[in-house]
Amino acid sequence: MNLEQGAPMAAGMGTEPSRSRRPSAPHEGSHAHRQATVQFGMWVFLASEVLFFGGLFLAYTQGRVNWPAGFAAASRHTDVWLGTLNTALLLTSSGFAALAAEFSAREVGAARRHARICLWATVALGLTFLAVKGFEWHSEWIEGLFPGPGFQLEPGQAPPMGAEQFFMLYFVMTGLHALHMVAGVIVMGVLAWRAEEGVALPIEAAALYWHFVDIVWIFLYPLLYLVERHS
Amino acid sequence: MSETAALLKRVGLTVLALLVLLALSLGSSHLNLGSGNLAASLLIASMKAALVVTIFMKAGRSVRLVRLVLVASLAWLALLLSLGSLDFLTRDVQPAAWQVPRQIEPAVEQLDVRPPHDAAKRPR
Repeated sequence: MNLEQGAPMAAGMGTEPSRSRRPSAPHEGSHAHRQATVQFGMWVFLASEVLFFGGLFLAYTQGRVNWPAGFAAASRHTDVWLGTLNTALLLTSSGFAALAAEFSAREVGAARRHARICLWATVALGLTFLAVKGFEWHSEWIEGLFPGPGFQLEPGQAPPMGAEQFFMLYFVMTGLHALHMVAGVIVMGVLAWRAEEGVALPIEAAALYWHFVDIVWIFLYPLLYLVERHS
Repeated sequence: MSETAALLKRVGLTVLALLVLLALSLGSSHLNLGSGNLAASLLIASMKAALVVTIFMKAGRSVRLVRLVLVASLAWLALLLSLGSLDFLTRDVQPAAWQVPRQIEPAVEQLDVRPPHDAAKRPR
């Protein structure tokens, strides 16, 4: 019995010298190791998401290079104030997500309650973002800005070349971003529900995801709302 | 408690910096800077993203593997955008006036009017 218990330990000790040469590598099975694994897995997923959105940004670049005037005219029809409000909401929600990750990593009960409050705040800000975005889409639909046979920038006037392509990209990019937000809100909501059960690692992973979705919006905001606002 | 205060201060200041950058981005877009408008808004967006990545996502304090993934993802994105843009950024566009589409008369004498079964009899 002693031998059986001792064998894996000995095997573990056998790998010690190679580990000691790399002090940053955490011990397998330890909390630090699990944390590193969770972080690595989430970052690899986010790297694939970078390329997923990257293709859309490439399509946007192509459109804007080809039809600069059409993109500028179309962008002036987006609601810059609602877009700015939504950016502020999302940036603030990222702050709450960061706080939630920090608080949940602490062992103290009070910190976990703080984590729960921060997660609910993140969810509330995310839902407000989605509500504002939904209102924007509705107004744009009524205005005839949704691409299709009825597309128009000004009633009774032919839209400039590229304006419809801009709104095609606008709806695809903000729509996919909103889908990511919905997923994030659901995950954050479930974790807020379970915040006091000690789900620090899932909260850390969800916060990383939330920050990524925030970064996507940070780039969408100037590219969709702020094209030649001055003229 | 002081640890919590320091945390709140760090995150609060970061959110404040992000909101200031947002105001700068909105303000700069209302000035006529020519092509500088796009450069300014992308620069400000990159600064905001850098703040989120370094302070909220703690990329600098993560394990080496995570930093490798971050750098690799940016490198792949650069490849995607640069190689993907090669064609339309280097293509010589020569604008022409819009022409109404019209049916061109078929050149009858050049058409092979033999029925299809004749084609099978042709020497190969």
